Amino acid sequence: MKTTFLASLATALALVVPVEVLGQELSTLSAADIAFGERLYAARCGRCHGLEGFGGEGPALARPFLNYARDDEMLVSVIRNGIPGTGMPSDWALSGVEARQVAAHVRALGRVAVAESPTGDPARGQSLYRGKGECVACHGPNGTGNQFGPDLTDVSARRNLEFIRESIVDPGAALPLGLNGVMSYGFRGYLPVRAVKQIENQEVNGHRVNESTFTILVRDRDGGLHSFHKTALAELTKQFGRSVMPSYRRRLSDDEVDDLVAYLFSLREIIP
Amino acid sequence: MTRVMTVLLVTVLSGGAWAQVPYNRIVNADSEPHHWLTHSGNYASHRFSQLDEINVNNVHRLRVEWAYQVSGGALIETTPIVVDGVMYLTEPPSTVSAVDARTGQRIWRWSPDMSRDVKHIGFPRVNRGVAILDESIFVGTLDAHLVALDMHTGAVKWDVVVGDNDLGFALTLAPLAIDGKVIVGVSGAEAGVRGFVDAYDAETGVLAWRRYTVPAPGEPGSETWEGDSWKTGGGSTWLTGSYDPELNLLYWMIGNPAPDWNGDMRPGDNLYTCSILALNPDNGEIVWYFQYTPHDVHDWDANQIPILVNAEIDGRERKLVVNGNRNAFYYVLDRETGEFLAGREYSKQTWSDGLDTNGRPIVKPNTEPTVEGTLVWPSLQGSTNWFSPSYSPETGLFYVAVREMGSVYYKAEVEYEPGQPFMGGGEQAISGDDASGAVRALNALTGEHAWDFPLLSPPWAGVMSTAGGLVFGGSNEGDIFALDANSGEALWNFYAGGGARSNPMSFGLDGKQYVVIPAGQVVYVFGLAPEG
Repeated sequence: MKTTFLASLATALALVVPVEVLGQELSTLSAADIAFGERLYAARCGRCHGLEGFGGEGPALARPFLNYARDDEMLVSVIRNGIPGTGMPSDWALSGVEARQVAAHVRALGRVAVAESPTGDPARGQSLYRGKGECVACHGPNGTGNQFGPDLTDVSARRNLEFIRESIVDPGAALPLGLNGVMSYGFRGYLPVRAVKQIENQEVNGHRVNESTFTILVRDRDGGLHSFHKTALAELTKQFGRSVMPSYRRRLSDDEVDDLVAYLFSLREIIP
Repeated sequence: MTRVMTVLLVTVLSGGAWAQVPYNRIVNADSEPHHWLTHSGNYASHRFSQLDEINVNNVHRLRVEWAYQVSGGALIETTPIVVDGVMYLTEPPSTVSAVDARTGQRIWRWSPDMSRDVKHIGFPRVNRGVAILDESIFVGTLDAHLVALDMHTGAVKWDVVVGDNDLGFALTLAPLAIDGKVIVGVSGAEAGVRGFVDAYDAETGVLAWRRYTVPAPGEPGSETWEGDSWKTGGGSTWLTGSYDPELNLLYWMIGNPAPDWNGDMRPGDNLYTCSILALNPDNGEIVWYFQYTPHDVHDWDANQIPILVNAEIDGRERKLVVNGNRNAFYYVLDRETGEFLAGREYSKQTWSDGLDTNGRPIVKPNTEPTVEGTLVWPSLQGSTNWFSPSYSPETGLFYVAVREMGSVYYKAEVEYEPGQPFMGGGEQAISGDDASGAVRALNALTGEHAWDFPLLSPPWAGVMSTAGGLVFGGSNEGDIFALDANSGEALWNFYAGGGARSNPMSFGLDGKQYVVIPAGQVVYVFGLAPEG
């Protein structure tokens, strides 16, 4: 009952003073505004960033500083307009006032809680990355990626620890959305596909670079590009739930995975 | 060439009193299929070309004949009109260009003197085309003016304000010109306007009548609103209607109630939102109405183009109006009386257990938007949207570009402020690999499924069928294609390098057929390459 009352109060206040909210510093928004922002956040942002802001498919927001939102106006802009080329969509249906209320809640998350830090040893992680893990083959010697595997140097700004962990032990469960802005938001990046040509029965395995109704562009493990008209294919299988990256569930111990995560996190320091 | 000479001769002899495109020419548009005289090709809105030079046997030889680059870097949603060798098209947001239909070279261009801060709440800066009548081109502008231009020079004949853009009124539709009148509707429900359909005298621009789509207290239908909610009730009229000259009835489709996703603020059925109105074009009176989605809470405007079909049903000749609705149902109504004759689901939906015997949807519980979000099919953008369907009298099929996508719908509190968004919530679409599209063929008299041509993503481009046995369409990813109208098999495709977000049309010139489809920033004009 009390929550409902507060929510109604928050709504009422938010609506009565929109002009003030629009012109106000986020740090001076009222508790009622922030409470309303929390409700909006839970509905619109929590699925990717976590209800407590510890992240998931989206980066953790429970941090004092956010890489794409160094100041409050940038934060409001990211909420309203998204970040092209990433999984962060725009939310055109949020009003200017609502975007500021959400932003104020996000800043509040950063003040009251700090997302967990990696527990592993980045130096050991680097050895695993370059040695036993054979990560270099697809992600390059320093994590900058190559024509087959993605750049990982800013992965700490895009994903939380648990998500990166899952990406290592169960990569098929964690294909990124809207990758690199090649295909529009919602399409899985690095989707494994198997294409078999009708003529010569030539088979190509790789991941999807781009696709239209009539054509698909596939990159194979050697970085080679294959362009197909779909009508020329005897088989086209999109392997949702799988990844071209191997699972490290059995190849690395839990501690080794922690070390690898710590190394990946060290590739880009959170800018204070 | 003969026709042009004749036109010049007659114009000179009559001292200009002769009209190049009189009303009778538009009524009989089907007798000159090499011209495209209205937004949807004829008053019945068939978007069907009787030209058959391009057909199932030779469409593989289709190639670009010329292209026109639009200005402004915004989305092209125009359908050109082509008459007597000239193409009249609009460029975003509200520019009109006359172009030589043989070569693509511009003859004149007109742009309104419009503020850069013009409001367009809930939609992009687009325009869907012009109307033509006598010697005038009519265009609606984003700042809610209706302007008549001289078809030969682009000079302004008259310019009237249809609605106050400061309140959120805008015009994006192609006007409809009938005998002596120009009919337009407005956008603005997302800003809480009270919608209307207007008729203006084509010669003078004087308002002939206005029909509000939300009744005032005391008027029929006002019992479906509570308190003052009617004042901000929405009911935009933002796409072109259809016209039956014999019945002298105008069919106009009405948009969503406002606020969009918070129905608590407007209890009741909210007439005439999400409805079709049959209007007397002489005075704007409502002859009959049918409401597709009573008390809509998902922004499922019913504005999609209504198509007029004549057919025999149960041994009786019927005059029908059919519609593939944004709410995922296909409807067949008697267009003399508004009687519901048939309806069925044509696309995935999770909000209704079907239609009752009167065509009213049986709404499932717990499908309303909530603060936490409610997942419902179809998405806010609907099973189809503003882009046009097509009807082929030859196949008897209704062709529609379908969006198979769900959305999580949110409800929020909102208070009306003039000229500000008044939506009361939002959506998060289930997009990308979890959504898809199709060009779908339905039996026009029943809505039964005939065939699908699957599309990678939910489309934003309409379709056109032709007497050549073809259906033309486009995709978000930049494919332009021709399908077999009987089977849906793809017979030809062209990668345009930019998303198709418009409607195809066709015209003939010098004995050659052309097909026009805009994509990206380009209006593409295709014709057959020589054999061999």
